[in-house]
Amino acid sequence: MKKLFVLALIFSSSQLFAQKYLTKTGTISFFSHTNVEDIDAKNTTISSILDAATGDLKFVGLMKSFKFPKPLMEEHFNENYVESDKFPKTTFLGKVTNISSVNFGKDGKYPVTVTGVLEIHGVKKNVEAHGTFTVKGSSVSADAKFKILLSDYKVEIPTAVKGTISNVMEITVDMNYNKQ
Amino acid sequence: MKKILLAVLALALIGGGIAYYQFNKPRETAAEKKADVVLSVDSLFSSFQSDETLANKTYLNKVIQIEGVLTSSEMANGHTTCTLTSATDGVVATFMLTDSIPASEMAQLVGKKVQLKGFFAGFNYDSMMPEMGGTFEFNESALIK
Repeated sequence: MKKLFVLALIFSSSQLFAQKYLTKTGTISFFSHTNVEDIDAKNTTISSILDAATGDLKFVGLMKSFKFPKPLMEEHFNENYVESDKFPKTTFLGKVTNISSVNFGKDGKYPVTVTGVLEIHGVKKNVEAHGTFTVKGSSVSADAKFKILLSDYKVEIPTAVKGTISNVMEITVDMNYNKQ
Repeated sequence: MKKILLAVLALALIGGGIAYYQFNKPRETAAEKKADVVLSVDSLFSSFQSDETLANKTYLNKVIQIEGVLTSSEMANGHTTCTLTSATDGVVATFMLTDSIPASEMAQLVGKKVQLKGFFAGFNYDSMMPEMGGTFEFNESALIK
């Protein structure tokens, strides 16, 4: 009986730690600033999976679902900068390096570091971001901010507007995951 | 000389007006457009299954009209989003409407056949996470009554 109980406990623990957290309505926004022009856009339909056991973190989103305040900005972004027809998606494939420090069974805030490969405009680049996981019951929210250079992703700023658009983009990630 | 100055001023005003209009032009919506193509979520999925690159070339930016059963509707950021499912498990189409429709009105349509049209933004799917299924996303959409 005792053996059976121990086996059940091991099985239920492995089920608990094999838990995946999913969202289809994650938000990724970006912001850049110059004295001439601020650019900000938001995509609220990011699909993402967080594996609580391994720390694997993945997301995928459509470039055309980034919404700008002005339609003209959106048009330029899709046609001239990220060439969304040619490269329709952005993906991230990475890992939470300190996943063992997150207790998914206990409500609270946990600082995390994520490293992985971010693909934009058909170019893959390693990135590192620091953020926070907030565990509340069966949901986990994840927030992080990091910066990228447009030039790293071969996104060209036309010479005519070089001084008005920054090469540095601040990316903000905001996911609200639910247990699978 | 005065005529030249007036002509330059007129050109500058016209140029400025065009630039102002372009910068502030309203968003194009599917409601005011005729659908480029009418199909089902399943036939769209078949196209992406057989050749994703070709399907993107064929359908991206097009106004697509789809008839299907409305499985859910929710309001976010001032827009109503409608979801239609397909015969394939995990494959759905979401239409972000330009307008917001009262939740009570939308609730009456859930489970019923509806027609929606919108600008096709792409197929949100990646083989590295098959458990997420795939979502066909449509922007600036309209519910055809």
